[in-house]
Amino acid sequence: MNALVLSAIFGVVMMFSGVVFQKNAAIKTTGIVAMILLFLANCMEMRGIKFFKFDVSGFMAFDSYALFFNGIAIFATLIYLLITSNQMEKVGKNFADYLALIFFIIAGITITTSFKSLLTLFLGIEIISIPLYILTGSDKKNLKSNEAALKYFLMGSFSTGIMLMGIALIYGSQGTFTIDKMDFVLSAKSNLHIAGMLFLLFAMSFKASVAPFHFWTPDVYDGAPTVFTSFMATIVKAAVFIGFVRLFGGAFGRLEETWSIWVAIMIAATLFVGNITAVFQQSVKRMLSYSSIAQAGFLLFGVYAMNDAAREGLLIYSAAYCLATIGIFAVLSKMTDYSFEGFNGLAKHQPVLAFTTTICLLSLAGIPLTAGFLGKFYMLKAAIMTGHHLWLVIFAVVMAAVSVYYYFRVIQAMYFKEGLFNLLRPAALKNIR
Amino acid sequence: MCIELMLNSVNLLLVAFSKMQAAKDAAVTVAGTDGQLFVFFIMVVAAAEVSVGLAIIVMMYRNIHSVDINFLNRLKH
Repeated sequence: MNALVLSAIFGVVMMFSGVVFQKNAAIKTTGIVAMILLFLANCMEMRGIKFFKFDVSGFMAFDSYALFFNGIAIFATLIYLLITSNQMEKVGKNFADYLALIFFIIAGITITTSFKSLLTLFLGIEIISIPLYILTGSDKKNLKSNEAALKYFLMGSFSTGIMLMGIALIYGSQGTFTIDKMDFVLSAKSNLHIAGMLFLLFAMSFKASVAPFHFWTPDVYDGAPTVFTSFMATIVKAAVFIGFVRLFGGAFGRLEETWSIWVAIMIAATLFVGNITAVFQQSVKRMLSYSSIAQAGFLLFGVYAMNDAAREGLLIYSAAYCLATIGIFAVLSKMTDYSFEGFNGLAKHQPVLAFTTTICLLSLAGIPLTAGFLGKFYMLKAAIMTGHHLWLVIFAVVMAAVSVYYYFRVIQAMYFKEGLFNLLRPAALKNIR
Repeated sequence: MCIELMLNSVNLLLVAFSKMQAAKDAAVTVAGTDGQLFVFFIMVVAAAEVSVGLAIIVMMYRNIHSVDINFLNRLKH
């Protein structure tokens, strides 16, 4: 509750800070201080100190799992702001508004991760999505950004329609939106309920960019300004997955036989499409957007396995994935050339930067000793513990091996190829030093 | 817009279901009211969504002086 109320208040504060402060540096400091306060407030709630006492039972439950994920999300956003806020200033004139929208998205994330009713799930997902449409189109003069925003808006509102249809059908069969009040004996027999569940599965897959509902992802991630792509592809995506797990563990837990095979097929499709298509990309940004589809396949193991190991694994995986991807996108936003050749010879001129990128890429590829390896390990362990569909785990390992190829292409370009020094922007060079 | 149409159809469905719930247990006077409440939330969200969507379309029109979607193929390569 602390994080939810405070992030909404801070969002409004950030909007006004654009009017009050003339300099971007002051706005940036306000944003970072507010994010630190938000993190502390969330930590306090984990220790049992609540600032606000509202009765939200039946709508939201701020349990330790949700609070822990909110902590990860807020911390990752803090890191994100610290690294990329310089880049964010260059996107457009409305720096304060971008920060305000990010705070509103955090409010949406706290709702999505702690919902207890389908009403709050819907509101949370929408509070995440609508600011994201704006952030995608924030580079107003750039046609690619416009196109990405329009595509994202159309796809997003289409999936919202599907989600609402699912919710309405479930309401028709159950007579309630509250997950705890649902009658599971009845739901197994009700076709209305099963249809609603499938609608919700598809809608959540849309939002989480799981194949075969991933078509918007590469275009949108490619067209959006790089700083906001990094936010969309990491923190938001992880939050949607937490909502996904809560929905299918809570509302449809008893129907697991019905949906687990669908989810298994979707995992296989996502891993295949994401990894194989990423191999053929020429632009690193586009490669990363396909790689984020592939990572969504691994995150989906959390929904598939639905045991305690999977829930813990999801937290570790999302933390590792968020930090690594934010790091790579931060490097990418400093580049002028997004192709693989743009990275040529980076290690010679910027050894620290190249080394950080290498560690982030190794973590994404899941090489042992990195956090990404632990995440993948936990997810696959959880899938093995369920005891069926072992082929899926083997397939995932093979696909992780494929992913090593395209991550190492960047490392190879950085360390073993000659490149020009002037590919980095002069201003960016100053910041790195 | 077709999106409005989709959301309105869901509104209609929710109201119908809430009437059905109210008829099912007539003893409880509040039965089915949450379905009708949901409709208001959908209306609010739809208004917010449409305002953002129209803003995106206006932004596009300023750049290319047309709202023809055939111009939007720059990301396909």
